[in-house]
Amino acid sequence: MTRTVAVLPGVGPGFADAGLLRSHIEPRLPDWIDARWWTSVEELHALAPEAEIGWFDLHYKPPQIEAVRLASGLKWLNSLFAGLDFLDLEEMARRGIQLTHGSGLTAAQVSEYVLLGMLAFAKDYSAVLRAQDRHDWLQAAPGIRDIAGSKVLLLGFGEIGRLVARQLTAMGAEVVPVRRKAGEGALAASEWRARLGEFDWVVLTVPGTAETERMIGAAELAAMKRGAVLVNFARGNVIDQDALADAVEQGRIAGAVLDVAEPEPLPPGHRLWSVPGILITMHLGGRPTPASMKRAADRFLVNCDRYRRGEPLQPTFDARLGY
Amino acid sequence: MADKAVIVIPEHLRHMLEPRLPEGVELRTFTGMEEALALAPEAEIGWFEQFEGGVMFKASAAAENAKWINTAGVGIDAFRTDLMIERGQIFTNGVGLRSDTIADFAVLGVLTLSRRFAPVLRAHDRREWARAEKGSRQLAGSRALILGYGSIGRAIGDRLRAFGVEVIGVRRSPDDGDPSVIGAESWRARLSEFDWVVIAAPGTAETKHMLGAAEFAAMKSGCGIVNIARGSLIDQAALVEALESGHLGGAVLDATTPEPLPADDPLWSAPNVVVTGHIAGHGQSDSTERAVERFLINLDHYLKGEPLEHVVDFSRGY
Repeated sequence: MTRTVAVLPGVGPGFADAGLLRSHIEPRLPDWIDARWWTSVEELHALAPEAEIGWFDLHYKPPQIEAVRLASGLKWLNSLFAGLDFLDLEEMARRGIQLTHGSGLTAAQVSEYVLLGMLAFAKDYSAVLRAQDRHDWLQAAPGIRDIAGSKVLLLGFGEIGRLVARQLTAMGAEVVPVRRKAGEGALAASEWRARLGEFDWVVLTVPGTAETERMIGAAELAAMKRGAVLVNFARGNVIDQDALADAVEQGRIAGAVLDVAEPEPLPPGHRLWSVPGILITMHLGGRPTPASMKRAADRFLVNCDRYRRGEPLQPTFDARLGY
Repeated sequence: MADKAVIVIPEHLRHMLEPRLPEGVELRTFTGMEEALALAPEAEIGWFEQFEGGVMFKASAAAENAKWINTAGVGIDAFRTDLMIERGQIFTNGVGLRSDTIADFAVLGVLTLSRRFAPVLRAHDRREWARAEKGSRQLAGSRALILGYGSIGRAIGDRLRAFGVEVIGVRRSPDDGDPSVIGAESWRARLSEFDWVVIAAPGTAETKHMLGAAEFAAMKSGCGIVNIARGSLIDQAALVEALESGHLGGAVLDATTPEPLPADDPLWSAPNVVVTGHIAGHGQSDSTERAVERFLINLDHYLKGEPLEHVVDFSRGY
């Protein structure tokens, strides 16, 4: 029997717990797959040309993009990441490569990070922690913002957005999502800009597409409530970062929580680091955890069976929608 | 005007209370401890806070002629309730007024531990794009034990459940039929089941050092502790030991023994500890306004000779 070569992540530089992925997959891998495990970028690039099935995830993207280029026999590329807009999707379509992505795998942990970022901003936990590190008992609370009673505009109502809405609602916030059509407490895509001034928090979990690029610029920031906070767990390019830095510096809004930025990693000299009121959480929201690794492994194995039988793989990435 | 009931309150509450007082009462206000101690014996009704200006609860002990003493806080362990019992005084507190704010702070503590967030904030201060911290895990699917399931404990439980956490609350007298609330006699045997232990119980003789070496040893390895209640509930030396041995995963402590915690206390530098300095109850929401509302309702009851609301049960200590 000719076996199908799959080039998969072993213990390696991709993420802290890549070994977990291998330990979940290896014992359950079907016979028809010949697995080759990469543990370094060099190994990944050496093995990529052999791959019919590939799983090349790296936190730092250029070597991952290079691996796709090198994998001339690739028919199916799998990924942990939900947003794959960093890949040359047109080229992959031309090469006939199927693409499955990590949509929903990390929704729970991203939603937790959204709330962590909001609460940390609300209580100015950076200042609390600095006091802790000085062994200094605070005389007054540095941040006293309450979630209860606040109004939150939620741009992006996919799996992450729904979880965020549930958690915020449990904390007593009023959550207004933006959907394609208005109704049931939601605003339509055509309506939210006019209502920006009503909200204490504006939370972004939209996919990265042409439509969402720079959706928050100087005009939107100017329309926000003074004292409002912008929270971005979507893509760095969804926000005009310079306009944001200006708005926070000039006190037109209170601040921002940015899990994503442009570029990533944000260089040490970048202006965003030094604007008081901007909290950067370094795209850690969706970093794989043991639980999401397990889900990713399970999903990959189900797709292996589908691949073998010639059935459609799920979920496939739609470049036009961005998810 | 001997027939007027004298109300003694902190000066900063005057502007909220004075315009709304009914007939038949007279307001006297104090600023600072000296004035409070001088005015207290004149009070038929006195409003004193536990920590305001340091030890304002001492003034309540001087209110020897008072019939009703009020406080906006929840914890009453520093008040001389023995004197109140002796004098037959009624004591009302602020139970429930700050539950949302405190519960948010507790959830922030749990999230900070689960996602190893303190090193991320420090990395930000260094302008460094941090990598994921080892040991970061999701909250969904984890299990939390909440010691003290009153107004604050429940608010914490409701929030954690929205994150997909399985929550067990501990009450002195659990409600029948709710398997998620257990009694004071059964939680110790189950300590190994939980990823998080959140303390929201009152500081009483009964709860003193309810978590000590034996309890920490019985917890799951890597368990995180969050205390938004009272430092007295924890045997702090045992906690430091359990953290330093690596058995416990970390602790977020808004309450310590003593307060303020001296700068050289070993707790400050125990692994994965964040000491937050008794700020959990500070919110922007109008908890003072709500405390005033509650006081006015109780004042109405008082003047009509009706029972007051939110009366402290001296036998329980909360």
